[in-house]
Amino acid sequence: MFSLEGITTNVQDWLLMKFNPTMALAIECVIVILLSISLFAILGLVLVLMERKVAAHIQIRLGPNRVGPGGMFQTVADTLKLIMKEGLTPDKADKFLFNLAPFVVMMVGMLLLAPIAFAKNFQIWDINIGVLYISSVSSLSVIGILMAGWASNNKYSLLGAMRSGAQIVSYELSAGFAVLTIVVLTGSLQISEIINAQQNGWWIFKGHIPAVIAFVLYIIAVTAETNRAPFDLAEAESELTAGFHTEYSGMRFALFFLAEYINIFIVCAIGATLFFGGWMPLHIGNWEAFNHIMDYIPSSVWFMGKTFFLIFLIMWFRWTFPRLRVDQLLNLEWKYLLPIRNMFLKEYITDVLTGVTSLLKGMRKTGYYFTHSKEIITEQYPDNRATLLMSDRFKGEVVMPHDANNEHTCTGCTACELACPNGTIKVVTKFETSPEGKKKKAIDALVYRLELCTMCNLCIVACPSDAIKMAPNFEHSVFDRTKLTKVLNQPGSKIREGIE
Amino acid sequence: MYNQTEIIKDTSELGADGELVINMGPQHPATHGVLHLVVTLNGETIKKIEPHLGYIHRSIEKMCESLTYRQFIYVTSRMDYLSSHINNLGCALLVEKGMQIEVPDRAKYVRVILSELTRIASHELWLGAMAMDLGAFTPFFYAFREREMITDIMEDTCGARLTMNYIVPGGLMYDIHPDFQKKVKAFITQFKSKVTEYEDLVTNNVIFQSRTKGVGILSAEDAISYGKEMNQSIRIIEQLIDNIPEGDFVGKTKNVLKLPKGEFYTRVETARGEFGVYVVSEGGTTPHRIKFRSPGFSNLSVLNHISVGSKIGDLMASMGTLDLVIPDIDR
Amino acid sequence: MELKEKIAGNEPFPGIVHDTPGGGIVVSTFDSIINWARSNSLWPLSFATSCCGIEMMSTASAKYDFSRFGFEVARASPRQADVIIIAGTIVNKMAPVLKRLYDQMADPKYVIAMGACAISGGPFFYNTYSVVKGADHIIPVDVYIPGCPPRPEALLHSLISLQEKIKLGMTREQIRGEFKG
Ligand code: SF4
Ligand code: SF4
Repeated sequence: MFSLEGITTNVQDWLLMKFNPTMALAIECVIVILLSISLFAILGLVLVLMERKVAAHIQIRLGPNRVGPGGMFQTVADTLKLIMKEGLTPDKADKFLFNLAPFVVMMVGMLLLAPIAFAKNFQIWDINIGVLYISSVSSLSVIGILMAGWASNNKYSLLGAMRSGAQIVSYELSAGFAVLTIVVLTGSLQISEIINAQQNGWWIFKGHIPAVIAFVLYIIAVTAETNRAPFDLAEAESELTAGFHTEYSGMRFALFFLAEYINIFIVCAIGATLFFGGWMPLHIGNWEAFNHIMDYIPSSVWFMGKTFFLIFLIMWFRWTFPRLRVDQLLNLEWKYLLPIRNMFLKEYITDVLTGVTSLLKGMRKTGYYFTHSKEIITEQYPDNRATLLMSDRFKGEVVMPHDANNEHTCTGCTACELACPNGTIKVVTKFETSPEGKKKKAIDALVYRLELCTMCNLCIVACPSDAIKMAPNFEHSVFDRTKLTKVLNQPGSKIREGIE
Repeated sequence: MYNQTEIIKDTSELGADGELVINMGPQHPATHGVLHLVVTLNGETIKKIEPHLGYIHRSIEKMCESLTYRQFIYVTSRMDYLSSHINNLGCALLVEKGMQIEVPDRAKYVRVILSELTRIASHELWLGAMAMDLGAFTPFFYAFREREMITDIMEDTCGARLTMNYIVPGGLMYDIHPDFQKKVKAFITQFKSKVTEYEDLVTNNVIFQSRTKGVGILSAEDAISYGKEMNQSIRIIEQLIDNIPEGDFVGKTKNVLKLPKGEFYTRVETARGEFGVYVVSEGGTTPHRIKFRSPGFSNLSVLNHISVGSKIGDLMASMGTLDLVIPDIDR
Repeated sequence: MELKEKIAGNEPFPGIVHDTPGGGIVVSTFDSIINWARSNSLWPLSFATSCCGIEMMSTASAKYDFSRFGFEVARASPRQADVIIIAGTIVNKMAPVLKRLYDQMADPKYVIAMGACAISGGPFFYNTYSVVKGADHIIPVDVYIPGCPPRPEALLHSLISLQEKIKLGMTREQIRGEFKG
């Protein structure tokens, strides 16, 4: 059975044996810092890929699948590119704050890692006010966002940052209430004790209705706090282009991008700890054998499993719901999550019930598509080229068919040139002398400028001798525009006998 | 290090009394193209909207004056490209009216069916784009699944997916594809089975409802009427699809079309309103003057009226329901 | 087109594997890794002026799905985009805006001219007073894809061509020279 429990003790013993205690502590700090940074990078890569795959499957398509096996390296490529990309700073921006903001957001994420128990006895800092620490530090991220919005000197950024400020500050409250429920149930603020209290059943099961309501509150509040749809007003793509990070590019944008996913991970990890017992395996009353089997699964797997389940839930929300409007967002918080409005209980309950039913209906639909991969309708273009079903009528380009003797049927009557509305076709004629000495008009070149052609078919209809037709070719992309001017008659070709 | 006055001066340059003036567009995801809105805001509340046009003004009307009556139809596909068939139909009807060309029944039936299919396709796109404006990305993909079936039908018969140029004065450019009826019926079955999906995800969703309810004066009813229109289109297609008469697909026309001297006007109902063609002819092969009455332009003019006092988010909702196609406005 | 064949299509990762006892080592150059990353992570700017934009939307839709190549992260802010797909007509009034958008993008940036309008003015080539006769009069274009509009597969083809071009790591002039030879 693999477990992380022993590793920390072993490392500590070994370090203490080799160095003096101060030194050992310093080395431990370095190790922890390195570990958390790499955890960040890996989590970022995995979560972004996961999001893209989940989105794709909900949206009946395949998602990234060409870079590396199954698209595994997609996010690696993205990250590398972002690192290598130019980082712009707008001219009138407040340079210092502008550059600082992404690091503040990132740092908050880092700080929040400290009290999370990744496995049994595998925790950076088991502080005795763990829950308080989390609520206070997590509200710091709004400072980074406000900084970014203000320093960018961009009105969209400013609006986005302001929205984000209002949102995070108000949703802190209901998140706090939800967390307090568990604190009251446990009687402690320490993360390890909260987990230990769930030894014989997770709070979501044994906490009855209060815990369930608290969980729902918590999920809604943290979705809002991490600026995720349906609460992604701070970025609201269709309204504010990219919200507070509109002006960011390159590495600094990557930090914001990463921080979003790290924050999701953290809030889900905390959710899993508070409501689903963290690394605690699933134990049911006195089913000894069952509990024993469950114990065999390593605690880190339990923790990650629960966390990723919650992450999936939040992603599922994002790809199902429309965004709320800014006043509705605050209404939801102050009137429904914290019902301090003077409202009849009946009205409140019916409102909540109808709302939740309609949302669940939507989630059922998207969930159906997520689980039914046979509904995916994606055609994989470059791979399916050979079998690509295309209408033979498709107007892709004008061609002039030639037969085996390199003969065509174009008489050079210029009907197509006259019919063409934008001068795509030019007929260049010459006079040929036949063996009998008669002069005859023939084409020298039928110049066709594919770059201009609108595929309107008028030339084909106009042609009296069916010399040209539409071909369903479409792979015309070139690096050089001059390549798109073509001569349709093949070199050395001539008109077929008997065509006048 | 930090010059506060500079930043404040810069943001207050355009507005007074704490108003914030933002330029939405010409490149902005919600304007569906290159509309430019100068929005005056007080906090999040809209005080004034001023649309700036012309970022896609392609001088189509002027251009048509130098194109023959056969040629000018194809340009109209590029105006309201989501109702390209219907635009083409309007122009063809004008020429037919002016020259008293008989159109065979078969062509008439096919024209109507194709126009209704275009209308459905346009509304499908509207549904997806509207949902996207409101922040839900998934309905777009579901709506496009059905839309792709229509574009497939179009590709089979007309040879193009978006800008068809299939309707010509006197009838159709060529006959329908042998599979046409089969495919249209398959589409109808599929569409009917998927309507509930849109309802679950979009129209019945509580967030969607609260975002569109009371926004502007048009939105909520508009959303419903689009749905009604799609069902109506399906009904029309169902009635016609089995009864397409045999016969010619194009009537007899002269080689060179000349409209008699005078003024002509026709109108058709596109996916977003009434489309009118007005031609002044001097008796030549090209129009002397041509004017299109495009629905988008009139629709846009209500935007300021319905949005003042609402939030930025509402602007997206009302712009979504107006279903603007910018080249149709600018022409 | 030998050039395109030279850069063998879809290697999962650039480099050569040297077999050593107990495994292998991938040997590669920094340049080719960067080019690999850049070519596989082309984020388009959501920019469309007219009809071709609808086909761009179709390319994003489930049936064609350009997310398979990692193109689906369409950014609304030019700062974060890598490739600008000029989907539609550029008119005189829009031209300065397009230039500005291009300037706002962070390097490296690429341009695809989609459709007849963006390549040359297309349907609006003659008798119009307001259409720019080709977007390459305003900003440099990397790949041209004709059609009116090009079908979604054609847009995918142009994106793949762009990937190949990036993997090649050559400048426009060099590529032009190679093709002539
Ligand atoms: S298809 Fe139309 S635009 Fe193209 S060459 Fe023929 S007439 Fe001209
Ligand atoms: S090339 Fe054709 S389809 Fe594309 S924008 Fe121009 S007119 Fe529209």
